[in-house]
Amino acid sequence: MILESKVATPAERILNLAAYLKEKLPSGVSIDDITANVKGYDPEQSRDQQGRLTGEGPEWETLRRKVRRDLEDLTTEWGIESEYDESNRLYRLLPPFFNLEERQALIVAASMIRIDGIDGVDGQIGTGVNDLEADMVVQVHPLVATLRDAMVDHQKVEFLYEETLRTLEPWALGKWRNSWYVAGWEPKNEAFRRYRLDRISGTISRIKPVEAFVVQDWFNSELAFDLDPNSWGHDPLLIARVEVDQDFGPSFISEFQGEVTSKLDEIWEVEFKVRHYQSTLVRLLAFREHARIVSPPPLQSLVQDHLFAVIEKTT
Amino acid sequence: MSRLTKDQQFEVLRTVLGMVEEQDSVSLSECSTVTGIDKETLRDTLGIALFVDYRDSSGNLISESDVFLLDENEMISITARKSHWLRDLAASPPDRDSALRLLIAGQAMQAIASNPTPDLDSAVAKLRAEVAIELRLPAEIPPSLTTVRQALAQQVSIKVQYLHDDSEATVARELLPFQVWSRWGHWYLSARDIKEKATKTFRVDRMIRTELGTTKVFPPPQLEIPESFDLKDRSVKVRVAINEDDLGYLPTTAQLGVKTDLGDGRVELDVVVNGDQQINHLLLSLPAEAKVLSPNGYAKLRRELVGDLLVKLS
Repeated sequence: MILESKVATPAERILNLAAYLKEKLPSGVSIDDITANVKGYDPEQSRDQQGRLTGEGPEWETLRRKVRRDLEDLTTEWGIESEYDESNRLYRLLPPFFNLEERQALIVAASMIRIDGIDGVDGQIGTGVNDLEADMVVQVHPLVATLRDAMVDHQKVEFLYEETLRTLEPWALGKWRNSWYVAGWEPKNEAFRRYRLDRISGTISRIKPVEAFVVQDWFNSELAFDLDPNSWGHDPLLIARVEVDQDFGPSFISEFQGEVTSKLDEIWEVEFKVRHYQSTLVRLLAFREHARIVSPPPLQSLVQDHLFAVIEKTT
Repeated sequence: MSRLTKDQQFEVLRTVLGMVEEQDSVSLSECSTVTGIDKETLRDTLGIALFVDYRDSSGNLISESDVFLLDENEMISITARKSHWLRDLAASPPDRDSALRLLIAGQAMQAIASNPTPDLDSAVAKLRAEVAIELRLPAEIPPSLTTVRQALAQQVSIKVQYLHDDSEATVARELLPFQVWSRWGHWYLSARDIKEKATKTFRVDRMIRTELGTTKVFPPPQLEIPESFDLKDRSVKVRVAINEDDLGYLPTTAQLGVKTDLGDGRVELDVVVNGDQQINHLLLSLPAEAKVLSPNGYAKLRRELVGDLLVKLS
């Protein structure tokens, strides 16, 4: 369908300009080409008798500004950016941020995974999908956006955590076992720290100035969010061997990231490293009699001593 | 002629283009609802971009834009490639929040994908550089998810040994699967047991020894992912006195209430847990020095559980 109108609206003119710039890739176009050929500009404005642009004077200046404004609108409204080639006096479109395949892959991801907690801007990629088709929901903690901004600007943050005021250089955000964490450097204690976002009271303040820190080269985000106490604990290393009833095997493996060393008579034998005795005890007790420590003896004693102590103290 | 300003027209066009490109087909009424613009004005506005062939000042064709159609049923749909050239040209990255949403969705998708995803990988790499943050999103994929998805694709039942939250042994079930979904870090299956009438939700990681069944499934209309589970009936508030330093070692499923300082290094607080399994775990793992103050009978229950476990482990 062709919309017949003598005068193009500003919106039509700007979109015509985008189409023209696209057609003239990769050579680029001059302001002369644009004003002569794109519907919506006056092809006779600021031209001499030979049809050449005058290149000076108030009329020319008005025309130049109009083109500039239209190009700015294309950037602001549509993300369509052009560069000006000073030597050849040509405008040329910049390549797209995503290619078509990348955009379509993101649209598929956005349609399958619903993000709750951060709103996108209408019209941006992924905001037009039908939420009902998503089969996975990722809940984003409300403090993530503030921390993201602080991380981008390299600003320290301040917050109340378990009734203590903390100052942190936020280096990374991540999830572990369904909770969001921020990891970073705490200047006061000169230590690397991780904080669970749902245990932060109230809001997070960003402290001026920006560019206040650099993330150190030794930082490893993968290790930073391995929050299993048996990864970061400081107790002497033990290798646990545990017999687990088959039905509880998968959840035991998920809990301890252990390795199944044998499967016999509906019993799995699982081996894993223990670097944090207390947390290992608590997590083992979730499996009650369905997980039995085979070795080492110190770990067996840990469980038995705890149970005997409870009996003794509560009787 | 549209009564909207240029900026408003662009806003409407961006929104509608996004909806049509990402849903393939959208009704004019839905676009009207989403944009808050009446259908007549919307039709005028869409005419600017969606149905105009771009021509130069002498009427020569510059660019065809006939990838969208508004049919007689007032449905806007894509007719050719699944994209519109206006979106193809965008050189600017998404705004910060949209980029973060896409990065999270992209990374979550990478984590659950079973095949290589080169286009998604390069898109995520660009987003990660743009968002300029380190984001870690591990995803646990339960082993039974593959069989569950096969059953859904083939529309057949699935036979499982299911380990209920509060049970000590698995139960054999044949489930008619309707929808699999993930929330709160777990994968769930909305399904009906062939021996029951109601649709229930089953945790996929509690499905042990799964295999495809032969009963044909006729799924109900699209189910919505629940916003929450009602755990009121299963929720218990246990009041304890405990050394403050030990609070960090309570089971991760326990929700801690407001603490009252007892002045000797101990605090008193409510600990909320859901279901027998979590209650038992809390009572078993409380440090020996901790005291259970309420509900009535829970101190005794704690002793019984601990004694019983000692016998079973001996």
